Amino acid sequence: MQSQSDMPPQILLVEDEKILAEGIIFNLEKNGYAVDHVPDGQTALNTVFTRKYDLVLLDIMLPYVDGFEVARRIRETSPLMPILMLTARTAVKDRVKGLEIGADDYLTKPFHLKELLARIKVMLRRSEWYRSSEPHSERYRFGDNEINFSDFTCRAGNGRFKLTQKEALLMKYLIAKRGQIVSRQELLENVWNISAEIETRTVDIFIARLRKYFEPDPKNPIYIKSVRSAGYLFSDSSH
Amino acid sequence: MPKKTSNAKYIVIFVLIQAAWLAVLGLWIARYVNTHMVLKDIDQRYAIHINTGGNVAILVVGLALIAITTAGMWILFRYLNFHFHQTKLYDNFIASITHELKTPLASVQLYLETLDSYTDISEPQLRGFTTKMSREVTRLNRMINSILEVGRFESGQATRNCQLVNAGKALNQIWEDLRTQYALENDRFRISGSSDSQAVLDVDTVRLLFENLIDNSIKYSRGEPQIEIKLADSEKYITILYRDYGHGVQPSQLRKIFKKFYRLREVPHPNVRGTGLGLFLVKNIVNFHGGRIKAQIPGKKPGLQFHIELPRYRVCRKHYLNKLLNPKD
Repeated sequence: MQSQSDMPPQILLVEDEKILAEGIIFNLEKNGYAVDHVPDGQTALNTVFTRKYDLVLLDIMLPYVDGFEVARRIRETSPLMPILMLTARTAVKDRVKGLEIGADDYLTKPFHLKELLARIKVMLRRSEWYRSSEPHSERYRFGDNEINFSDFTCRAGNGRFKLTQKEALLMKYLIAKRGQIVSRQELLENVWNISAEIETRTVDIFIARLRKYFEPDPKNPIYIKSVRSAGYLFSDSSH
Repeated sequence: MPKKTSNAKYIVIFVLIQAAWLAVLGLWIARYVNTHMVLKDIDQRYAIHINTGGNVAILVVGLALIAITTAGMWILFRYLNFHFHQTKLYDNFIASITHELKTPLASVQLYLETLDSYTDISEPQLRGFTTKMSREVTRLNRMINSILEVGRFESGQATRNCQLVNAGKALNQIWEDLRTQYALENDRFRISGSSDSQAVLDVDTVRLLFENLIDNSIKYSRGEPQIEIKLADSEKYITILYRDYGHGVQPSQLRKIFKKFYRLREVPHPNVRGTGLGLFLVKNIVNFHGGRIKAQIPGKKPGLQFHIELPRYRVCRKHYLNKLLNPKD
């Protein structure tokens, strides 16, 4: 799988367990990825911004700075960086915490090799889609609103704020499919990637949030409309 | 990684309840004193001789009951607080043990699936994979043994294989095995001194003791671990000085580190692997053999030192050691 140019996708592996890390590196390299490995959270933070990584594979229980904190700090600077968390913790609250902080996906140890590789592939594909899909320009305007998709900053009327990564992905997906009805299932599969653990209600919550940001009257939306028992429809009056 | 749970809100609720009922009692007492004064005033003014002697006795008994209730509440509060603390430690232990057991399992599964996925794996790669899997299985085995040993010590149902051995020979054999197991080179794992004493040892358990110490030294080392062991005979004991050059601990932690589930939390400790059982088990193993262990801060250079004393047979506590040899007697 190749990302932008002929360069193989660059993955930063943050894992303190040496033997496990060596096994993961062997497999990733065998599948055409270039891997840098760091054994603790502090080194990860020192390394992650030194070059352009396409994905971060991040353990949670790390020396010095834990994986949650690493993910949070990466998100502050790099809202688009795909982060796959890898951990032995199975508690739902840990998974939810990871996803809320900004991890894109979560894999529990012990994991199946094929599943790890498949998830990395999907995440890179989605990241590539985000970069290449419409709107191609960084800034997108509709009505009184403007979204900057590179840093997620927004302007709605006189207010300025920042979208979360998921909100930005959702908005971008709706805009890319403007004029078409998009089902909740489709949004779950393409924006959230994993459908099993997230209820369709999650989509509704995010849509309600986006309407609050961008609609002059969120109760009577003009941009993000509901289509009864089908999904949502984005229409842009300025286009 | 420490689990952040707060019992603060329960403590605040408890304190507020106590404050509320003490305030109610305070109001009652104030009202009582007020009524008492009024009655005394009426008594003085109209000389009708109201008897208030019984009321004073009730007040005194009431105050004593309040004191008893408050003391009881305080004891309950301490007890609940202790259990909150234990539950928190236990939750952290569960998270740690999950990590400790699942990580080597994940490695073994990954290497097995790797072997199954590719047909072009070379002979040296294959040997490398099997060595790694074998190391992880050993680690898993040590972890399971440690958990089982703690359970045995706590239930007092340990069945031991204690034997009268030459301490120097037995200990050196254990250390050489561990040197190989942890791939520690000579200059990173120095053993000096000797002992020609006889001791009653359960060799497998003593091996577990040193496995735990070495594992800690590796975990809390700055870079490559550096370990020194000095063996000597004193009048009654075989003395082992185990020292590393890792992060060490604070003087206030020297005793706490032997407590069950206790983990080092603060920076710069890497604080990752571990269950908080290792040194608790180490102390139990030493005590079981009739010995003593003390953690010390060694000189100016960083690190941690353990001063271990194991009793010499025929010199020290013979009755107990004979009991170890013949548990049925």
